[in-house]
Amino acid sequence: MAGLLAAGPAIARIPLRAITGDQTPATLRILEALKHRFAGLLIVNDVKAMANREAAAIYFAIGPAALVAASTSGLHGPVLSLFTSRQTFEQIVAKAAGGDHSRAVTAIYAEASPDSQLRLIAAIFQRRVSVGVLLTPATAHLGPLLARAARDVGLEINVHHAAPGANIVRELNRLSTSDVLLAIPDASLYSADSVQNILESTYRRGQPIVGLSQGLVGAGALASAYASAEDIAAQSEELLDELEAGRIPEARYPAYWRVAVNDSVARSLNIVISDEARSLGDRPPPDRAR
Amino acid sequence: MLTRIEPPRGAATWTSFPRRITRLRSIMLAPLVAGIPALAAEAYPEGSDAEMLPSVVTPTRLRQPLRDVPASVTVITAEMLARMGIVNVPDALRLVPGMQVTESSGNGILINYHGTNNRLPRRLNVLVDGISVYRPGLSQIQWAQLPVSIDDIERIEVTRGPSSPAYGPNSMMAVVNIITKHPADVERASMTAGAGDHGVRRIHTRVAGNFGRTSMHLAASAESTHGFDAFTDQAQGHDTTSAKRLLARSQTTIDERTRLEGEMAYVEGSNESPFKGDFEDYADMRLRDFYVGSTLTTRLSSRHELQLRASYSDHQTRQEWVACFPQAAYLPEMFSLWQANPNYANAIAAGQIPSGGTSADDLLAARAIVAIRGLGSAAFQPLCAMANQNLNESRFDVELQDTYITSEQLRFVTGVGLRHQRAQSQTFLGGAASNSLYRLFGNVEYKPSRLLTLNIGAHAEHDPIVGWSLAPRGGANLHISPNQTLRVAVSRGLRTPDLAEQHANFTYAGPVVSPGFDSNRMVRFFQSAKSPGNMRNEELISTEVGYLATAPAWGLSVDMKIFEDRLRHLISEVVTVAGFTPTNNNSTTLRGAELQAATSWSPDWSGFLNYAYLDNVDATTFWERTQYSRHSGSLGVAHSIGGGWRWSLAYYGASGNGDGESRYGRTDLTIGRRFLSACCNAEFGLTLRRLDNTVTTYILSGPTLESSLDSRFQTLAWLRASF
Repeated sequence: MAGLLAAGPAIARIPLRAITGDQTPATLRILEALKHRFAGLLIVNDVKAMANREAAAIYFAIGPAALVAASTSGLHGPVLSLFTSRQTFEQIVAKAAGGDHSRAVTAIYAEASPDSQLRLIAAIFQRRVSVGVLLTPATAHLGPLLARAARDVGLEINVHHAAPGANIVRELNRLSTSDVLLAIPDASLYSADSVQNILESTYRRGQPIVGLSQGLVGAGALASAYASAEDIAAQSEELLDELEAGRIPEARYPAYWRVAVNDSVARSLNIVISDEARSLGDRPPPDRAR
Repeated sequence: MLTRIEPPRGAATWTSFPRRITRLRSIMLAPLVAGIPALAAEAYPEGSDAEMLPSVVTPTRLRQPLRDVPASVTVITAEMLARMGIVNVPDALRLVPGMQVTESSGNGILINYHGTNNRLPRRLNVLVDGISVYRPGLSQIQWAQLPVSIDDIERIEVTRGPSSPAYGPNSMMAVVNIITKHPADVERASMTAGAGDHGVRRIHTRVAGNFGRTSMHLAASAESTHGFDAFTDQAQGHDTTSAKRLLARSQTTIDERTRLEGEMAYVEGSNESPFKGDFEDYADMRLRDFYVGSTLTTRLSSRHELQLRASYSDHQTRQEWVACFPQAAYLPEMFSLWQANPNYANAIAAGQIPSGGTSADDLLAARAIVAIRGLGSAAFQPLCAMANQNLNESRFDVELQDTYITSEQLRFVTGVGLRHQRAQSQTFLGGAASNSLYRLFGNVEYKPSRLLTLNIGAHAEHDPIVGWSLAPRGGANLHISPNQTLRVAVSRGLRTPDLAEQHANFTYAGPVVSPGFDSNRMVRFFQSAKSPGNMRNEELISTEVGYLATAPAWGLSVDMKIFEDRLRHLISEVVTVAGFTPTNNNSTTLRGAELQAATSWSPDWSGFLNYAYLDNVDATTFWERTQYSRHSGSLGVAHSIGGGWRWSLAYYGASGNGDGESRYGRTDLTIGRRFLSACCNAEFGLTLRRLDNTVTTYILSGPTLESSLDSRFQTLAWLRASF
């Protein structure tokens, strides 16, 4: 994209459209970040009507509901899923795989990559610690990736595979010797019903949780790598080159991320988080409006 | 009988969750699609989550990180206990710098922070999930019959210093807060079995489940030990100790702001008494304890929490034995004479003619001599009768605690409470005694800047005899860097005299069991003791300067302190039937330094070093130096080899400078392996133990006593499985 912009002003651009599933403050803030970066961005209110009448465009599907609508509505143009987790993205795409439109969907996942989270853990603890991870069949494929990433940053990884439907809090006993837990997005583990119990249980053990997001940090996790709305918008701009060229890039984790810390939790667990750990991450280059 | 009979000693939502998780934080985004992970990305301000976090709860009743605590604290986790092969609480407390642990027999476990009086280790409070196991009648803690097994314990927090400002007068020197495993956290089922030399046997099993909004577990355990192999003048050991327990714990989430926790424990145990006298058989003890408690916690707002706690405990001690003294010892005339002038009675019992008393004493002596002569030669023939030290004790406690966070800078905890305690014993009290105590307490934490945390707290209690007493504390923690804190604390600790000290009416009476005598005949031993009933509180003024530091790259935490404890108004006398004239006349001063260091420098290696230097000076009675080690500490290292194997090596030692007190030294090598599978966990451990000395010496009431083992080596093994 940057290259295209630098090449000259006369390039015809494909229109950009944003699909939302609600008007929550979070959605509005994400929209704001996209609009700031993409001046001509329009918001689609009726996806089906849009599919019937408009010519090709590039669609930003903001959140899971928007992705469901976009991937099942026969839109003319590629869909870039934003702010939907990897697991959810894959579920939605798999469900829509029978349709003709699913092939033109890619994503920047909502969550920071496991590599980023493990880099953050290494920076917080400043030594080799054991990292416990609960995986289910839905996330079991991440095992090798986690092991490799942990090895790269000098951490020890303890993976426990939990059965579907298991009591997650009791399953945490299997990871009781780990110095820290890494929370990986998994709907069957981290749900509204379970997250409070998980956080309280780990507090009782004095075991910090790192991940999944800025929201979980606010709820009581120690820290997390996360991509802000501005980070995602910047990476979206970089993907537009390929999308405009008709190529559908691989879905991917955010390239840009930063660190959220719950200082109250850190103090409570007697963990001092250095400025180096807080400033960890990769920041996008200064934005240029499209 | 003169020296023998004493009281028993004692989303995928990667970001957001619905609003009902308000206790953690109100999160504003609801799921966009039912059953599908939610959208999120709301930024949440940092802040007030800490009040719900169980960092260190004990020292001020506020949940505080160590850097803000105005006291030195030792935290021992279940993982550490398992790693080091520790299988009982007294051994766990050897990990606490300055904690003096003396084992006079399998059940004669005498523990006090900084020692002092070996006969009366009653200046330390022990809480199990907030319920005190410190008995109201004779201030005892039955360590062998605690309501929890080592397998029930999640962690032990020891506040090393006066905790009366938070937990009241019985927490004078320190408080040991035993926190059991939470019912929601434990495995669905587990079983542990262990055995070792000296008749060590233990078994523990637990089941847990969730029932709607309630999590609960039920644990049953049994353990026993044969104890020592020989005692002073006793060629055979007679100190077998056993305990059987049931423990149930539950938590019910009533709504998003309110939860109810319940706990119930039942313990049955027996303690063989290692000694018997010329005239008496072994005075073995049977114990039965029952505890029930409940805590209702409700969060009125994100900054305001109320907690109502009520507990009841009942302790029944049965200690009965046969005593065969000369018949003259049971004469009512001798009893009357003893009450008038014990020296006269002792002289006559020794076959001497007393003198120097009043004319009334002389008259009573003449009557006693006439009565003895009336018995003829039978006066010196033994008459066997039952003696007992049976004791029923109970305590009801209710307390309301209010925690309020005005800001990140200012937090309060305040509360009121009532404790009603009762003891019933014909032997110790001549019936029953009870009292009701009222208390008010509070602590303020104020952070005027990021560099400073101030704590001011106090506990006021009203005792019917002592009146109002106040135990205040002030502390300042200066955070000289994110990893370093300097701490200064001054506090006053108190111990309220127990029911026996205030109300003792000590006599031995029981039915005759000698053949040929009327079994309905009751006799009473001639000696007796009565408390003056005007005892005041023991007092401790403690000053400490501490330093806390962490080095994350080494996984290292260090806590050091220097301290001075000035103990005043000490009641050093023990309740004995041969003479009990308690006073508040004794005092001593303790000065020293302590170091506590722990490191976990990799997932495979960890270690600890604890050391205490103690000077016990200016003691007004040698009894306050009978439990005293100038040097004590522990040192250990643990290593995970791989493949589930691990080992640990630890040394625990105490120099034993107290009067009659021997040195203690122990080396433990523990090897274990953990097996993990999809369905279950299993692990086993083997501890090889070597004692530096096979003989333990100590003073309890008279000359120095000895407890000895045949071998300095001991082996302990255990196996655990969970599902």
